[in-house]
Parts: sequence; structure tokens; C-alpha cells
Amino acid sequence: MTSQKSQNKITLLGLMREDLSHRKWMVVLSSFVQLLFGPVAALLVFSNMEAQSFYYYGDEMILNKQKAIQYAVEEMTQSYLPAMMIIIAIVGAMIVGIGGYRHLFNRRMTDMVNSVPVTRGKQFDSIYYNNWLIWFVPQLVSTIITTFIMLARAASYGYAPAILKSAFFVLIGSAFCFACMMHLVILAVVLSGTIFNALLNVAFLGFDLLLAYGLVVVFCQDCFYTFVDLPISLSQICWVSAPLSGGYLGAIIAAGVSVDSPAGFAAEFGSVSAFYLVLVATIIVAIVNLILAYSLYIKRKSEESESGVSNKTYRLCIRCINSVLCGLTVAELFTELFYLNEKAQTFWQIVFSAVFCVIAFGLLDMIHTRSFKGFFSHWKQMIAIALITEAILVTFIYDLTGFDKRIISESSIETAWVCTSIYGMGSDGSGYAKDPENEGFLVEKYMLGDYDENDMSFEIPADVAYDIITAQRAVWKNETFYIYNPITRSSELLPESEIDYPAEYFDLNVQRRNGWEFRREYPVYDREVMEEIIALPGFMESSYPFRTGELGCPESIRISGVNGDKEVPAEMVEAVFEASVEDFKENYSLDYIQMRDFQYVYCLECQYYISNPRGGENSYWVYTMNMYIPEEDARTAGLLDELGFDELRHSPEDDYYYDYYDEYYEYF
Amino acid sequence: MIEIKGISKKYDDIEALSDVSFGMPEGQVFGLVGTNGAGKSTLLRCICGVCKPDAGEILVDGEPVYENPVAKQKIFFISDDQYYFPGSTPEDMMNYYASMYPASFSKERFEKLMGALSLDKKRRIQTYSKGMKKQLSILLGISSGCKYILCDETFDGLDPVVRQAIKRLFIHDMDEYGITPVIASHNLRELEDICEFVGLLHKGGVILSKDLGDMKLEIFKVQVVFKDQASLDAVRANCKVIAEEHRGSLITLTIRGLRTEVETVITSQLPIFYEVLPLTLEEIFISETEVLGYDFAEITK
Repeated sequence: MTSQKSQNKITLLGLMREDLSHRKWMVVLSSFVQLLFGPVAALLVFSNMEAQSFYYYGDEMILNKQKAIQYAVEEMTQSYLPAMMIIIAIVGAMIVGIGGYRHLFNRRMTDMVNSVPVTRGKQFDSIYYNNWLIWFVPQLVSTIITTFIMLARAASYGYAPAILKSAFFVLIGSAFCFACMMHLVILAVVLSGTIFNALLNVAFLGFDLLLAYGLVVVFCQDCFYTFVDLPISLSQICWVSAPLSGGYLGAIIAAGVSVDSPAGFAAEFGSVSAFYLVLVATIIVAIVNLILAYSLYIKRKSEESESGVSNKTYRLCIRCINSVLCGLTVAELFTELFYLNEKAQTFWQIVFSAVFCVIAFGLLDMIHTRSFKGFFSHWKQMIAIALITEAILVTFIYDLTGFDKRIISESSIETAWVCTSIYGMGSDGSGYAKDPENEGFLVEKYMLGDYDENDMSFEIPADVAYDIITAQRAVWKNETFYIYNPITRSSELLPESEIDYPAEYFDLNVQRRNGWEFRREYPVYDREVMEEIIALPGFMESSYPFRTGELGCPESIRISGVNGDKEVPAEMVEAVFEASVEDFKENYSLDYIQMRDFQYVYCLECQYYISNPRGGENSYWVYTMNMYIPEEDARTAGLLDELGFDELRHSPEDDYYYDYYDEYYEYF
Repeated sequence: MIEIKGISKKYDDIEALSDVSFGMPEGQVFGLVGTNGAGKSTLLRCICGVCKPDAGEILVDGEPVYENPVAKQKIFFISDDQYYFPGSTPEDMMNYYASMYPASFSKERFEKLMGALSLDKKRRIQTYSKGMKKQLSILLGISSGCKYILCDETFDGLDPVVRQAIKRLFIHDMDEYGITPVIASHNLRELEDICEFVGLLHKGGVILSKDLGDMKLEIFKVQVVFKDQASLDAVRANCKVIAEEHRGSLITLTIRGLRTEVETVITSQLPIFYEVLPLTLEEIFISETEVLGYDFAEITK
């Protein structure tokens, strides 16, 4: 009997061979794509780089060939291969995930597959392993060939370790990404009876949580004036969103960042340990997806094929969640797309969110049941979900949770930090500078206007924190400024004469005695409280970004004024910024930092000149920030005058009044 | 032997099978007949392990069939619309089933049978006619070497010559290899020629499951002319009359019971004329289902 059984037994390998014979086109496609975007691309990149080095440098070809090889290696290992292999892994996972289990979309094929003497578990396994083979073997071959090509060209210049390391991490990173994506796709496929539903489920399972997170952030930002940020970051929320986290983390691993420069992803995740935490969480999610897919596959009824989505619990969840999300998204679009006054906007938000919630609910029901009659088949649920959507919307719009009105007691505050919202006297823009240690590469650096808010936090006493929370606020509501008293919870109209810039925004971060964090931004209107805060010893140094030492080494700065533009010599660049900082320190007062509607003697648009080390043709200016120099900044204005910029200077008598905020609003 | 023990199966709110129990003895052709939507295909799908019954169990030679490759090795399911891989040839399908039934599938036999039916094994199946596809599915089933061949509406679409050839093939393999074909069909005349054992399904339940010969011994038609109404009433009182039809003085009665006993009752009434006729499978089917209200006589009224 035993021998009979073993004789009849179909081996997993045999099953895989049989499955693979019906998926030859996938093998061919995978091989073609991997070879095209691996070895062929490597050959092209190296050839082009070498050709360019010859073209640009003529007699110095040998020296610059080395340079060209360096760029080619860096282009391939740090940018092209990590990105391209992740894209291929994601697309590949979609194709093999859906293609491998395609029999679930066809009833006759399901019958045939399930009627043969093979357990469902074995069927699942054989397809799953083949999915890996179809993608991984060509990937491995492609990586080996690509590595050999790169080594042949660049090993003699000492790039062998970098190339080998890159090949290893590209394989690991793309495998990680492939697994995350494929497990999600298989789960979506197993839950679906048609390919259309499978694709929809991939989108729902992969992006719903992210959409919900985005909507919550957007609604909080739109509706709550004290809102700063959610306690969970976007990176953290990606943990359970496999397509994004898989792709994102896969790309980071593929680039080998984790080994070389932990600081690179520390900026994204907060710390190196947070990165590994996200990595582990993503792996857990991927494994859970696979386990779910496997168990659902084994229990899946044959009649579920061609039936849309049969799992009633899943169907209900997806229908309800996506209807709410659809309703809220449409409501948000009204705030973004149409310039309506606040009352009209609220009205149309409520109407259209309900309408689109109902439409989404009905459509999903139709798609899941594959019947036009399905639209109103759950009309009671439909009404309930529309009401829930409205309740969520109204809760946000009218702040029914009392988010902005909340006052915590002074005694509950253990420690508190604050930072102001006026950053460096009108400096603006993100900083790009030449990194002196990596000639030729642009790296992001903190500039005057691009600071780390954690560095700027200043610890304040609990009573000052409580003063901020309970101080009168200037609140913009229904196109009017109100003064809101959080103690009495009463509002009154702001006098016309004080409408311009009535508040100072203080970003308050409180650690409470119960261990909870409390972070809000208060538009403090109370002058006494503002002065109390800015007078705190050390507040100015902590709260304003004086970072002249981190400017990098720009070759020159072009300053565009009202009357023209001119370049600041490299050696004077630091001096201009230092003078500006000194002026700020000297003039530091509440009136000064709140001064916005003043006349500038210089309106400077600063740009760094970035030169291409391979030649002058690709050198360019990089916009960095705007600086507005008022008369009060006598030191800066004087220095610019001395440097010969006086022709760009304009006087208060000129008609030109440069109001930063007016310009800002006009521009948008 | 295939034993079906109290199986039930629902598709959402539709009850396809309800507490079905009977056995399919091996070495005989089992005919599965039933009204439209009676659950014949569902029953076959349950037997071959495609569907899992909501309740009850199915044993193949004493072993449960669902998710049991050992039991499933003995079963080949030929569906009413067999699936073939897109762009495949009979040879590809032969290789597929040969790998699924590695111990029993005979490629030589398949090729021989293909030749006998003049089917080209290199030609793409999508270019085959409906009948040729049916032939192919049967040949794959026969060549699989399985003990139980489950055929769902298999003879539909076959021309009379091929139909006879396939029947002969089944009979031959029963004798030679001891196979047990289970054939679900509406074509009762067809089944009557080949089946020895019949299961009758109606609305998800089994009406009867018997040897066809025995079945015919227990139900038959009597054409009779009585002298008076009292004689008819006496027959009605003493026999289990399923159906009754009057044409002038000639009365046709469908009666369930032993022939000798029924003849005794009828002769005791001294009829002017009587004749006992055997019922065809189709007539048995109609009679049995009529009793259960499966009657569309009203359609013309």
C-alpha cells in the first residue's frame, strides 16, 4: 500500500515543472527584461560615459577615462540598478502573482486543477516557488552578467568592492521588494474571482491605509488650526502598506544605504533603529499576507471562481472602507479645487461626500457581485455608511471632538519645548550645496531656511507652556479673524486695525506626566505671553537657525534685486550671511520678529553656482533662498553697499513696497 | 465503491444537494439522471474532490476523497465543458494528465485511441469542433487508467457512430480493466443502453438508486379495459398506482409493485383486456418525478 502511494505521488518538483511549462512566456519576458535593463544597460552606460570623456577631454583621455568610469560605476550602483531592479521586481511580482494563480479566475480551469490528485497546498506551493524562479533566476543571471561587465570595465580602477557590494544589495533589496509585493498580490488574487477584482484588491489592500492616513492628515490640517503632525509618521504607516514599504525599503537596501550611511535613512525614519523596526514590521506584514493567502487558498471553494469577490466579510469591509474614503476624498477635493467661500464649501462638501460615498458603495457592490442589480442590494448598509461618512466629515469641519479647544492642566505638564514659526527672517527654500568632500555631487544640506525643527526646540517652564495653551488666539475662520479665549471658550471679532499679522505661532511640544506627548501649534495673540517667551534666556539662539557655518562652499552667489542682479564673490558669501545674523541678534525684539509689512532696501534671491566638474557646459545656478534686508539690518545693508550692490538698492521712497506675505498670496 | 453519505451542498442560498446518500458499486456503469438543476454536476464535482460538501462525506474505496490524492488518483472527472490550456494540443494535455496520473496514465493507449478516432494529436485543440473536444476529454479519461471515470453530460455533442464507439470502449474497459464509469446525463435512452445501475436525483435529493433491471421489475405500465368503475376502484385500492391515463375505455396505469402481485389484483377484477408493458428509463423517470410534482401539464392550458 505504501509503495502504491509513493508510486502514485506527484512530486512537488514534477508539479513545478508542469506549471512552468504553461508559463514559458513569463520566463521569456522576465529574462528579456532583466537582460535588457541589466547587462545591456550597463554596456550602454559605460560606452556613453567613455565616449563623453573622450569628447570632452581629448588629450587627457586616460585621466578622464578614469573619471568617466567612476561616474558610470556610481550611476549604475547608486542610482540606476537599485531603482530599475525594484521597478522590475514590483512589475514582475504583479505579473507572476496574478499569472500563476490565474486558474482562480476561470471556473473550468479551477475544476480541472482541483480534480487532479494533488492537494491544494501543494498546488499553491508549486506555483509560489515557480513565481520566485521565474523572477529570481533571470535576475540572478542578469546581475552576474552586469557585475562582470562592470568589473571588466572598472575593476582595474579599484571599483571592484563597490561593484560586488552593489550586486549583493541589489539582489537582496529587489528580492525583499518582490516578496512584499507578490504576497500582497497573491492575497488579492485569492480573495478575487476575476482579474479585475484582483487588481482592485491589490489597490485596496496596498493603498487604503495610506489614503486613510493622508485624508486624516489633510483634514486635520484643514480643520484644526492647532494641528501639527500625527503621532505616527508616513514612514511608519507604510509598514502595513506592502507595495510602498516593500518598494521603498527594497530600494534603500538595494542602494546599500544601510551599510554605508545610516544617516541617509535616519532622516526618513528618525533613527537607524527605526529603519530596522520598519524593516522588520514590513517583513512581518509580508509573511502575514502569505499565510493569509495560503490559508484562504486551501479553503477556497471552487465555485468562487468568476464570482467577483465571494468572501462576504472581506467584501463588506472593503465596500464600507472605500466608500467612506471616496466620500471624504471628494469632500477634500472641494477644498482644493474650487474657490468657494467657507459656508458654500461646507455645504457642497457634505452633499458631494454623501453622493460619492453612495456611488462608490453601489459600484463596489456591483463589481463584487458582478451584477448591475447589485447597486442597491445593500441599501441599508449604504445609508448607514453615508451617514458615517457625514458624521466623520462634520466632526472634522465643526471640530466636534474639541481638538482645538482642548486645555491640559499645568500640573500634568512634565516638560515642554517650544519653537517659533518665524524662521530666520524670511529666508526660504531648500538648500542645495556642493559637498566639499564629494566633489561633483549635490547633497542636501541644511541652510538658513531648511532646518531641523528638533534642533530648534527650546525647553520652557511648565507655567510658560500653560500660558501658551491658555493665551488668547487669533483664529482665521469663515474668512474672518477672531480672537478666541480658550479659558472662557468665547470668540470676538478681531479689530480691523489689527488684522495684519495678529499672532505669533508657537509650536509647543509637551511631555505629560502620564507619559503621553502633546504637540500643538498655537497662534498666540496675547502680546504679554509672546514677550514672556521671546525674553526667555537662550530662546533666540535656540529658536532661530543661525547656520552660516553650514553653507558649504558655493563658488559664488547671485543676488537678484529689484533693479537687476549681480554675483557676490565667493569669499564674501559667508560675510553677507554673518552680517545678516548679527543684525538679527542686535535687533531682536517682538516688534522686529513680527515686522513683516516693512520696506526692504534689498530683496535678494540667492542662487548658488554649481559647476560640472566634467566641463562647463552643464554648470548651472541652483536656487536656494530669498533674503529680505530691511533698513534695520544696517550691517548687512552696509556690507552689500560696500560690495557694490548699491545700484540694486531701493529706498523707502520708491514706490516698490515688498511685502513678503502679500507677494506670497498673490503668487498662489 | 463510491459511498455517498448524507452530503449537502449550498451555493449561497441555493441548496444544490440535500442529505444525499447512496452507493455506486464498482464494475458497473452508473447512470446519474435527474431533472434540470437536480444537482448532478454538483454531485460529480463533490465526488471528484472539486467541491467540498457542507455536510456528509464521500468515500472512495473507503477513503475520504476531498484533499486526498490517494483517493483522487482513482478518479478522473470529465466535465461537460472540459478545460484545455490556451493554445494547447492533445499532446500537451496528454503530457499534463500523464504528469498528474504518473502511475496509471498510458500515453500509448491515448495515442492509439486518438488514431482510432482519427484525431490529430498535434493540432491545436481550439481548432477542434465541440464533438472532437468531447472525444478528446473521454480519451484522456480512459487513458488515465483511473478506476472511476466521472462523465458529466459526456455523450452530448457526439455523433451516433462515435457514441456507440465510446460505449463499446467503456464496456471493454470495464471488462478489461475493471473501470466504473459514472455517467450523468439527461439522455435517458442513451443511459438505458449502457447503465446497469441508476441514481435518480430531483431538487438536490435522491429519489431512488437501484439496479436498472430491478427498477424495471418494480414499476411497470398496465393497459387495461374494465367492465365497470368498481373494478378500477378496486385496483386503485389494492395497488400503488402512480399515474393514470384514460383513452376511451382503455386505461393506462403506471403501477409500482411486484408484477405477480399486481397481475393477481388485476385478473381478480376480470378485465376485458389487460397487458403488462415494461417501462423505459425515461418513463420511470417521468413517473417518479411527476409524483413529486415535477409536472408541466399546465403549460398548454
